[in-house]
Amino acid sequence: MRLRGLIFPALGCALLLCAWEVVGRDGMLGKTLPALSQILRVYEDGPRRALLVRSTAATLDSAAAGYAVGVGLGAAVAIFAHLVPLMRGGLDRMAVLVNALPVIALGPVLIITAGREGTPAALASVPVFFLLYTSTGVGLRGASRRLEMVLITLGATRWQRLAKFQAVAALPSVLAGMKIAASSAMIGAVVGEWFGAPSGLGVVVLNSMQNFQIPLLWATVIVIAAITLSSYGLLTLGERAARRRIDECDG
Amino acid sequence: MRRLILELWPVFLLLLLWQAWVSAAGYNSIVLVPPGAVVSDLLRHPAAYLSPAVHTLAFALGGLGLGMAAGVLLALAAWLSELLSGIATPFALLLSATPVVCLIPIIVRLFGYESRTELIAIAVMTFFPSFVYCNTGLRALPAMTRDVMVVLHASRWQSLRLLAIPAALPALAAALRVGATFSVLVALLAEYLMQTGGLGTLIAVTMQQFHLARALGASALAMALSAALFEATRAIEHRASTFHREGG
Amino acid sequence: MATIALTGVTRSFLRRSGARRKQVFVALGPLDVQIGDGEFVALIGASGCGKSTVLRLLAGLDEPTTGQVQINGQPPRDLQTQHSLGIAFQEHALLPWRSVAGNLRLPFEVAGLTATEDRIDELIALAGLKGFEHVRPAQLSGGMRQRVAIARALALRPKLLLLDEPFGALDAVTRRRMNFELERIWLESRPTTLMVTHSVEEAALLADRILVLTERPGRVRLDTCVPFSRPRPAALMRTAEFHRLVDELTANLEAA
Repeated sequence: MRLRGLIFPALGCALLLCAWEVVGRDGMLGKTLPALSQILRVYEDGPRRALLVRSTAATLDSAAAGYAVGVGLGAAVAIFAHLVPLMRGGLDRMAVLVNALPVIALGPVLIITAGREGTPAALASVPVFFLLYTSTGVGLRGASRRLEMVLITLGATRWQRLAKFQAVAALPSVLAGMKIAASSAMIGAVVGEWFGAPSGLGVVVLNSMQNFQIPLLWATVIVIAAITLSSYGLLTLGERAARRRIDECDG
Repeated sequence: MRRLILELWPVFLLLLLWQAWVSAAGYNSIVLVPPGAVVSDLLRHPAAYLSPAVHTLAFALGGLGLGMAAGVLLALAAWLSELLSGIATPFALLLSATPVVCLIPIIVRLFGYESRTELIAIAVMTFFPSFVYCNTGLRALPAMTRDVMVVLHASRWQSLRLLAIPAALPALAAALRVGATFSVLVALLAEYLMQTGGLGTLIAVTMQQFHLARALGASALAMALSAALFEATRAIEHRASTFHREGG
Repeated sequence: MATIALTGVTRSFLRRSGARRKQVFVALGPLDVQIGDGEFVALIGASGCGKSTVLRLLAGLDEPTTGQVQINGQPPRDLQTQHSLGIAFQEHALLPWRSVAGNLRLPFEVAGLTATEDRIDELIALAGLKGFEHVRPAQLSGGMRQRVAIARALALRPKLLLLDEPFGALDAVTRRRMNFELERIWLESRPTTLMVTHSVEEAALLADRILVLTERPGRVRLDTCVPFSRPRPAALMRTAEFHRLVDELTANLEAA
């Protein structure tokens, strides 16, 4: 049964890659779908590889900055909302609306406030903020009520309960949020660069799209996808480790 | 009134800060305009906003419909075919974890700088969450109901029609909610990149012309559109899950 | 009606033992059991002895590794095809989006038969839920849901009724009450019935015959008749005879 779960996707993958190569070489879908081999050659080509490396560094820089700000702020505001329930209604509402905002609509605002260079990081931080705010909130509220009641009867103060129990119990949820936020940060940074950033993977994508440099376009998108997937994968491992140690064993 | 303040105070606060900042910094109008200027532009030139707004909304909904339909159909097919399910599910999960937004330039290049590309892009993007949610929903059956259907000697079609599809309705509603906001986002991005009309194009053009009040107005309108769709689909989702459990 | 014959039945699984090796894990058997027409048989035993597996084999939800399972000389799958099997689990397995009446109509729809108003009314009366026809499961209590589940199992007048700890999720008081309800319902048509239960008292109260299974792999340790006449009054549970039977069964269960 387990083998079956691996064989089908692997088969499907192999089939897809072969089809890609064939279609690309044949030119069936026009120049827009280049052969896999053509795309791979982009990585081997000196100048283009250097471009990708530089751009990756720039985008990662923005994404990481946005990620850090979003995580820190999101968790902090969530903790604040948890401690001051009166504010929570408004903050929840705002967080939900912010999340529903199309990042592009924030473009003009961010360019004004953060400038063309700061926009990618700023745009990355917005969805990250929302995700961390929500997951931290869920985590803090999800901590077992029963256990909390035991702590209250033992005379633990609000702070002690937060620090010793709720914060730790919230960790798996927080990590789940951080995991999803990684890909949002990448998207935010890349899209943010479309508003006129000087360099970055988003800029390369835009330019190669406008200049018909198809293999480069694909190669760049694949790099973006690869970075997103690997950070997602790494954070998933972290989340699992935390869950193993922290999650309650509910009988 | 009190509830309104409790719920919306961050918005008021933001507007206040905005106004304060503009007044204090004394910015030139090409750098930043106060909220008042945005509102007045919206009110005085509604025509400039109306047709792009309708354009964006129409494409978002159209693409959403197509994408959702495709996702639902593939999920149904995967339910009926083990082979298809085995191949499609991991793919869809993988793809939905990647930044599909970055596929938009590729789609644009594939289909050209035309309006229909926008529709295709939205459909492709909303297809993924639709498929993933529906796939999960079709399999989230109440405990032991699958066994009961076997003992009653139900055919695959009967199990699908009588059990799996009704069980999947809440998931479908959730997919609609996710897809709705996604559709507006993709619509705006596609319009921004291709400049084929709609609010995204309006934002791009007005920013190039440093016509900030209009750019911010278009932004605000886009945000309102997104929020409205989100609220509407959230209400649908809520309705679907209560109907599921408690009846009309 | 139905006669059941389990001959030389075993059910074993392959389990992983350690990183690589797979081991054969005998869950049940060998079993040789005959159940006659119209008998109400209770199956009791410790957890993991395979009681539910016996039920699943009879329902056609599982296949024996060796031996034969026959109902009226046919395999259980045939009874499924004839829509002659009724089953109720510990989980009510009702469709949450359908009303009580809607849930009772399900077996008819699957079998391609029309559910007459009269028949549905009959089933609702059988379940003791008059007035709740249009209510959803979410608005019913646990006991009421189980009554619907059992009524649904009896909807097509099955030849064989299978009950897998139907009252296991209920509290003791409700459970006791449901026992008497079940007897009342059963007496209406007296289908051949196999009920798996953890409760010795429940078995003694409801069954004509009790089979006690050993620990895994489950084999029949005791096959005893329950001599009380029907309908069985609540007072029965306070008689010395009843207590003696319960004690005997309990001792048998506890004997390692």
